[in-house]
Amino acid sequence: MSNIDFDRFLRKLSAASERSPLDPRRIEWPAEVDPDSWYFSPELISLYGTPVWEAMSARERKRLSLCEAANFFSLNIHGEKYLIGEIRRRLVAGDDSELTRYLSHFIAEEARHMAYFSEFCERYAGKIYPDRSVRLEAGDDRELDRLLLFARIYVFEEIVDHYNRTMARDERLTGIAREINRMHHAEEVRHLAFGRRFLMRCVHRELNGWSDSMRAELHRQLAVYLEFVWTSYCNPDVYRDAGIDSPFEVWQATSTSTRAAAHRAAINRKRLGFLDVIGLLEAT
Amino acid sequence: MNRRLAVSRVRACLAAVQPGIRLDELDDDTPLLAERVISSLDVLNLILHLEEASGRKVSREQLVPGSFRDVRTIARVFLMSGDSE
Repeated sequence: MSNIDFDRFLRKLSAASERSPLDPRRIEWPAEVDPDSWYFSPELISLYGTPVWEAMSARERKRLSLCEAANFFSLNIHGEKYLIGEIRRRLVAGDDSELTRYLSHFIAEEARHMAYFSEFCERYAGKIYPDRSVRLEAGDDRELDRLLLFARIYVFEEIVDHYNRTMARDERLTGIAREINRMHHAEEVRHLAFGRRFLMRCVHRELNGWSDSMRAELHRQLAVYLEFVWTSYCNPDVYRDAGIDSPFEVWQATSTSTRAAAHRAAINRKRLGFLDVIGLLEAT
Repeated sequence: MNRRLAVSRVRACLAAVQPGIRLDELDDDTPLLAERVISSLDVLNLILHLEEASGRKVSREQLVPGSFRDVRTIARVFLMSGDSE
């Protein structure tokens, strides 16, 4: 894609962002939790299909669905806070006006998402689940660092969007849960389109000139990040808050189960094949 | 928690998150990340095991790369903080 084509694409994205900003202030928040409602699609709940799940009553499962929703939204808050910080840091040195303009919209949209995710978590779960990530891998190679940043954002957003799309359409979910997933999906579609074009452009311009060791390092770090994202979806605090006995032991058994591995692999295949095609992530 | 117990618990946590680890070949000051004894992915699991071992949640201030340098540092930062050493 030429610079002219890429700039034209960015202008379209910016125009779409300017045309229809979704206003989270228009969300109608129910006063309290409905204990008989689903807040997360049962099949996406980390314990779905396990012996612990089978032993739970309908109400206990719905309580767990609320905690899983709060964990999912908390992961989004932490992920978005990270990417806002990293993109803003790069914008200061940015010299590409269309890219800078679109990334400013990107950041503004992420900040709005954080606002409604936080509201949900505080209002219905009484907390935002803590961020346990440690940023260990910041290297001193700027090209690798930049490509990794946008590839990580893309991985994170593709997996989140799989959940958003599924839950926005799931009529079993209570209205507020569907609405938040719908709103997030509506704006993330643009971010994903941007991510695909941007990464493809980076690959064509930069990756071919990289050494084998640099490529191997990119693959290694991105694969580790993907595992990290999936590991975060399984949280012993969620099981504790849902009233499940021995939450730590349940977490240990669940996070390493063959069912969890199969669930993750299926979504990786469905949503991350693009990264395999352009040579950023192997064996999805 | 005294130093010896804390170090022993950190070693147990490491074995839980990285079952292939050779604890008998691991000194208390072996650089865990620099020598790739553990990966950044292992760190997330390790944090959860350390919380379980200490009965305390970790704080954001503790979650910096230097906290995971070696067994001795992990013991001091996560299991002995607030205790007299």
